[in-house]
Amino acid sequence: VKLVLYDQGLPGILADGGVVPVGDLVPPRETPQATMEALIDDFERLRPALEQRANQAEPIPLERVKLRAPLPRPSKVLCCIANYWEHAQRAPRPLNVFLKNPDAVIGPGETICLPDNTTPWMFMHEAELGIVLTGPSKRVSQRDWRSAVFGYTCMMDITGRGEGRTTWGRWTWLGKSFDTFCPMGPCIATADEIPDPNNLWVQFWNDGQLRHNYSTDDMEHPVPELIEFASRGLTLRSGDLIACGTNHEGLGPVQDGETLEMEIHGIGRFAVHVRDPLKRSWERGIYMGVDSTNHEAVRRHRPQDAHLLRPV
Amino acid sequence: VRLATFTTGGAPQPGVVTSRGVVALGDLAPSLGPLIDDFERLRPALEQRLGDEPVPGARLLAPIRPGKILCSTNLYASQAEATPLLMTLKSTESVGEQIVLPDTFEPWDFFPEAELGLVIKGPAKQVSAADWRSAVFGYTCVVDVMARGNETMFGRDYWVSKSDSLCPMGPWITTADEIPDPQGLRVQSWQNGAPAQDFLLSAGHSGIPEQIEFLTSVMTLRSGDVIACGTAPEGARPLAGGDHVDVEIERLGRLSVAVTASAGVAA
Repeated sequence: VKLVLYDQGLPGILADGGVVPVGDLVPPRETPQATMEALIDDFERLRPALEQRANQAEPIPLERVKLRAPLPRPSKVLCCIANYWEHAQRAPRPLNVFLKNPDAVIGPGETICLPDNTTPWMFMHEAELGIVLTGPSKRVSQRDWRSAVFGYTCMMDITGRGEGRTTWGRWTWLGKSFDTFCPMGPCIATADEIPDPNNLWVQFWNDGQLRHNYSTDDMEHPVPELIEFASRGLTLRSGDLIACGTNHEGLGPVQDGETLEMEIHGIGRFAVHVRDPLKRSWERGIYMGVDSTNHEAVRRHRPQDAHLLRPV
Repeated sequence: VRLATFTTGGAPQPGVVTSRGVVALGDLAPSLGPLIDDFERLRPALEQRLGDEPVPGARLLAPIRPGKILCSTNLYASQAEATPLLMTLKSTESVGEQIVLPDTFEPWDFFPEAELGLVIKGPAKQVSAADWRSAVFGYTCVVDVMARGNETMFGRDYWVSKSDSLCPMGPWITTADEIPDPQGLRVQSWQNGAPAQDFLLSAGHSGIPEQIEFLTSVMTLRSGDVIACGTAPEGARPLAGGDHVDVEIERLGRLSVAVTASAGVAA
């Protein structure tokens, strides 16, 4: 099933173009995040009743509800660093992870507010597969990876850049932790709906212009390895998120007035808006700087590397 | 006043530390988090308790479970190596009463870094350096355990440093009104009883006001969030199972933490 939070943070199921309320099956907790965590922890017991409800109840049309972020305030948001091959024949890179500000989450229809901090030179989008965790999970082996995974969602890792596409704040990754820089939605697709998380099609549009367009089969360190690595020293909790990293070939700037939309086929699609009090502007389109991994940019700036590229 | 979280074997409770022990405050607030938000209103009732009988057998726990922990780094580097302010998020799983050295895929050394912890009163966003006091509820001692390996700063050491239990804090929170000039405090640590670190906060090249202004230009800080204000790392030595770390900051008390190796790790 596809689980959502809507309106004041009520739990529901996304079905047939609408939301089926399940608040009577899952009593609201002190926060919407706690409600979703309770749903995750009690899901196997609740599943028959949830499925029956989804099949029988009349959904509220989407126009009449406001979807919220499915995980409004995780205790932790883990983000993988540079985790796609990006169709280049190069040496493997060791897996590494950083933490993103868990207070930065916004949901569908909400607005990314660029900060009036002027030290980042540009703000960019990254569209990512989000793994929704169930826990406590610690020292989970690759073989047991499914025991730590509750489901999947769509996440945008909005990023302030220092220079080129280097994240602002050098190795602290703080450029990804500005308020509102963690849009997430529209739902959590439970793990049974996604037979292979490394075979998903991720798309992202900026004002209708296609930017990211990649498959998660290009992930350098696939989901089972991410679970093993992340849980080695850190306890993963129900309602925590691992963002799997993006394919940087489709990076681009985000700026005032734009609408960003992403879809992971089989999970869902959602959009957010962008507001910039300083009304800064950048050239629209995919980032083609000297450090871009977009294939046209590689051919332009690093022709000696062009033979290493594999077809997208 | 000095606010603590304690247990007598059951659920954690909020309390106030007096010269005779810990007085329970569970009837005023369920934990220290809500107490921060409501502190000015609760203060008179709280102060009337200072003469009450302490709870027998109370054991202090980490005073707060922060929603976010942010650690300043490189603040005490030599002038030549000084960088703009750098802060990293530590995990909320980092807080506990003992350090359990993580069982990692590759060998690391773990250095206990003694730091001043600012306990935030929020929401705080875009706070100017001049207004820094509006964002600070109180102070505590922090051990920010840093992993150092044979990789560079761009490697995994910051990730490994975010493992469970690597940011103990305590022994209590001293409210801001008791510390007129936190920037003048002296920070000391001991490892297995032998002196380790000893520095003055004033030696850092960015002060508390600048750290608050910088961080709140990025994100909203919430009540109970903690900023660990960086360390002069000289004197800290790698930890081993069975070790004991003490951190004392003038007027904020002394935090004592035991170190164990996680199961499966050779001591």
